[in-house]
Amino acid sequence: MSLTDLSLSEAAAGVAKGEFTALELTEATLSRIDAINPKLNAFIRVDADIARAEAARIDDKRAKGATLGPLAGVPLAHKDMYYRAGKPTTCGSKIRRTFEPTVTATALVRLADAGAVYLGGLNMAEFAFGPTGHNEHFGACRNPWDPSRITGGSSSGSGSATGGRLCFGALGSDTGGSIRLPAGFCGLAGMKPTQTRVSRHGVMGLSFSLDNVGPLTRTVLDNAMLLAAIAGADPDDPTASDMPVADYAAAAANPKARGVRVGVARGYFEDDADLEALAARDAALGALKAAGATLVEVDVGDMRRINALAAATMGPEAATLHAHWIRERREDYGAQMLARAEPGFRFSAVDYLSALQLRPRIVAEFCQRVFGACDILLAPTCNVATPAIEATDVGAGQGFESVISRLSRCTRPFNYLTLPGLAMPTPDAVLGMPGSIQLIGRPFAEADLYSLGAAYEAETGFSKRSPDL
Amino acid sequence: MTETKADEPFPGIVYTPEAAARADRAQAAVRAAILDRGGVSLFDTEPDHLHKTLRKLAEGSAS
Repeated sequence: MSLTDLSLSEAAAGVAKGEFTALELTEATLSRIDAINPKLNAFIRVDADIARAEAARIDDKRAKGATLGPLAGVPLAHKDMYYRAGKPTTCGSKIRRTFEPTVTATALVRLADAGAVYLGGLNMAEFAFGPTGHNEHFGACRNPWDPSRITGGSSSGSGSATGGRLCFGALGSDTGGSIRLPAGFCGLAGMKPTQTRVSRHGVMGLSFSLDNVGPLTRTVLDNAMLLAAIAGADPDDPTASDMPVADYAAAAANPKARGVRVGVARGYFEDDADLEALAARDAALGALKAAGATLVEVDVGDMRRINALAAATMGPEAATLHAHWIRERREDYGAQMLARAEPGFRFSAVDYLSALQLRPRIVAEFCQRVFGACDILLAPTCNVATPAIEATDVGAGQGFESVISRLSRCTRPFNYLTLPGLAMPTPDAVLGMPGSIQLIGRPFAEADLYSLGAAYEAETGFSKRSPDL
Repeated sequence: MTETKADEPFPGIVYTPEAAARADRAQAAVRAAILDRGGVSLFDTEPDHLHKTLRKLAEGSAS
């Protein structure tokens, strides 16, 4: 067994116990990147020298008997939109190919404080605006379970690199499903936390009202460890919530399904679905029942309207951020990115503000309707089988909107609803590829999701499966 | 002779007919969603309404 086969928590424990050094772990990971990344195109940039220096510092601290953080010596890589002062951050774009920020993202500072080693920047959809994993400037990212298939996006490299064992975990970002979709397609756990749970300081924005920072990992405990390191209030981001941060790792270490009422989301989430994806969802429900959960049917209401309001929120916000470059550097955008950003200019101020001002009421109504009947809601992460890269390489051509909306229809509403969502693989494959469900909780109920998620993981053993690369 | 005016929703942003059609569809869906809230006034909303709501919901006492 290679060191890169370890989970994040196992790798951290191995460094802490002195079973191997942080540098040995980092060298094993860099060797794996050299061997496998050409197949996956998961990395935009590998910062090997930085990684080796950081790992050596961890080993030095350990040798001196210093207290190590919970992630000490663990190599991570992140979607290439997390700023590091003075280091390139491309945002998956031509426009920012040589951009060097002047600040470092709070999330990266916190991971470094916990001892994590930084490997480099990961591939992503251009400006995080796409659910497939295509990128006109850096090339399509490839799925470790079948490199001819999409990774999902926009955190494509985060899914591919973590699934392919090129790193032990990764940060993604989620504005309409961009953590949960690549986690789903690449057979991983992916958490979109509650809106405002994690600071966005030093993170490229797409839609400030809907953007979320969160981790993709192989196991639920790994995921909880990463969220624990980055969650919480931040003086550099006044929008980050000061709600207390629960002990996520403890929750993941204490699986609990017995007595938990799991609501089954049907209707909208089953429309236009592949039957195989629904069968995999049903197998996931069966696993939760076997673990002791009680399944209940719930009425989720009109999700189409919520999806439209998400568009009214994201459209003007993204259009505002990109207006200058769309005017001045139009030719430097990929065709699909441009076609998706342009409708945002059409919405009126009243359209936009109505969507924002309706949001608290709609969130409250949804929570009362759904969480009055269950503790945690279950829905497919995506209700179609993983498409081929070629089949979804549609750019801005005929039918591109339906390709995009079909992939993100199950995730996008929960961004408008602010709710935390934990994506995890289904027990059964969907046409030979990982399937995925998402557990949705009340605001700030991430610990409950981790606890139920850990019970589901124990029942299904999903984190024991790995792709053959 | 009538001159056709460019569809320019923001200075320097000119829609092609296809882009205009996409934008119109998106806006129509949004307005339908807003109007579907039928008769709900937004007069009594506050700037931090969302944060207050999330906090209450987290405590299980949303109203």
